Amino acid sequence: MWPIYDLNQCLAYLHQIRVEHDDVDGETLHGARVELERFYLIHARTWLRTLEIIRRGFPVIDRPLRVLELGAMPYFFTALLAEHIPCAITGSTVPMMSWPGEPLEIAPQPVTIWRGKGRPSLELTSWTFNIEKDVFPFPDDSFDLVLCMEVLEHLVYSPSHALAESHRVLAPGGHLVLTIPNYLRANRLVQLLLGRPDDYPYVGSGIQGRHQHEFTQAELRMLLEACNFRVERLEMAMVWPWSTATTLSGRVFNAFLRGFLDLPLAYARNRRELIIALAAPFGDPRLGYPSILYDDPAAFPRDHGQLVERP
Amino acid sequence: MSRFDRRLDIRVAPDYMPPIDQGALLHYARAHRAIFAAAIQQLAAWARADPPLRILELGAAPYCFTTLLLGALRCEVTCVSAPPKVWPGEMVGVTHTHVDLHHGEQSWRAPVALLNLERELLPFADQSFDIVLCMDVLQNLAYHPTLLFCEAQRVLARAGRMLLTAPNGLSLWRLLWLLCGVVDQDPFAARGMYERRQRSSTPQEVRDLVSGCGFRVERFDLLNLGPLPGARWPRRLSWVARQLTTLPVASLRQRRDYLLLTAEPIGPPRAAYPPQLYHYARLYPRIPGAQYVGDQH
Repeated sequence: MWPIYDLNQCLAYLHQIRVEHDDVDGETLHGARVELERFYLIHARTWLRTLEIIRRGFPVIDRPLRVLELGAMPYFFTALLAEHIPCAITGSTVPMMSWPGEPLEIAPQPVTIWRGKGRPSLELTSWTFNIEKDVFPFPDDSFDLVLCMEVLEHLVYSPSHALAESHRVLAPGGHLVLTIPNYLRANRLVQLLLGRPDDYPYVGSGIQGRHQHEFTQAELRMLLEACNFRVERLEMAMVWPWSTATTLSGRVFNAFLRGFLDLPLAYARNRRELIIALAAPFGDPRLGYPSILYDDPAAFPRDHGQLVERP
Repeated sequence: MSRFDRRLDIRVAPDYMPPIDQGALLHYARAHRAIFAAAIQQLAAWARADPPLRILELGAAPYCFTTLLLGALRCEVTCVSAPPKVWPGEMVGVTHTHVDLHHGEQSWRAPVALLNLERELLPFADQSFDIVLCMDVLQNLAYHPTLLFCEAQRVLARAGRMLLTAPNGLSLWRLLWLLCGVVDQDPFAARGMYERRQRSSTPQEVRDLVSGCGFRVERFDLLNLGPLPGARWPRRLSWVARQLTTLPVASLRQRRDYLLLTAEPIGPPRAAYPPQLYHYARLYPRIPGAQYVGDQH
């Protein structure tokens, strides 16, 4: 068993993480220290929960775990995973400011992450490709674990392509770990009730920088099953920090809402913030288009190499 | 067939794609008829006999409203549409083409510029239109609506007007749907990413954006105009929301399902990035000819 950090240890570790070398977006990352700090404060609990799930999914390994992390930039979870589990991590990223239809040069890029004094820097390869469009540049059965953490909601056209390709590159016995915000979360309802915007703002780093399509628990399960994944675990979690209410009534309301969302009721569970799924591939890779998520399933590509020529 | 359907004999044949199915056109026109009627009523108030109004319609496809407009008012309409399958298709820049429109015995040919409104500048000279229509476009944008408003401001004549319609992100029907676990997101569309709604904006966000980009808002109404959904429960919830929001209570009026805005350009185009609407605004490409306020760039 691997020991996993508690939240304070985790935040102290993440505070030291710097991307030392990244030819793709390194320059932009260097100028965004405040935004990155906010990013890991929001996601630290999600990452700890995910580490716990990976630990349960892979209790014993006799070699480094082969991991593909989709949408790995800014590499915080990459660094956390490498700290906890013996693994060989390959990342994928889309350069900021790319348009979804724009062809990318599919190429490996060396990335170096500084992890604080006394720790060796983490070296990994991050491939630039569009997971929604390109055939993943890896042979079949080449990974034990594919991580798709808060990535699917950024896709604009068809998440099925990314799932079918993840299925193809997963080795038998491998797993997909997926986290995604729940569209029906209580926080969205509260914002709407208060007359505030509930959708994500536009993001200057590119179209895929913002949440384009979130999912509900039922939609995600349907999508995974349609793409030939067996869902082994699907949990709804409360993992984001809540801003402290400034008024007494606000604090009472927050406490009441938190208590309600913790209740073991289906309605309350379905209003929690985040969906975490652990799924295993079965059969052949499949482009599944559940009609609840796709307006004209027959019009979407039937072969996951159809959008581009296979290399 | 209803009287409305009989009156609506529309055929649309774009030069750049196969003719649009007439049944689908009729369905679309029927669903949006309240929005179309409100817009034509507003445009009729601006109409003049000579010279005809020069109208630029952004996001014109499937050209239902274009056809109705040409039949109702004396005007010249230029259309801007997204190229078919803008994603997963490649970026193509600007293409000039046309669309043939038929309504009963009448026929028109309207010029069409195919381009991505979030990426390309409008291929028209400054102050070349009297009216810019931006009907049900804003909610489909995913990246950069400021570019659209700056460009609309630039191509509008100084006495011109912009007419905008968009769903109200704070509508009561949306709130009721979400409370009851009904998802209001559009499904992924095979015809491309701009065929689906990407973001629900609040009335205040729209007002801030439009006035920030160099417009003076003249009319700002919240109305019940949206098409009722077909599925039974969502339809009932929407109907209840519609009844409640017709009550003479100010807070309920704010929860109607559509907003209709008219605005006139004042001064030069300004690139506004309201902080509640944009993150990392400094990363956006600079808009040529627009004034920048504040230090976001």
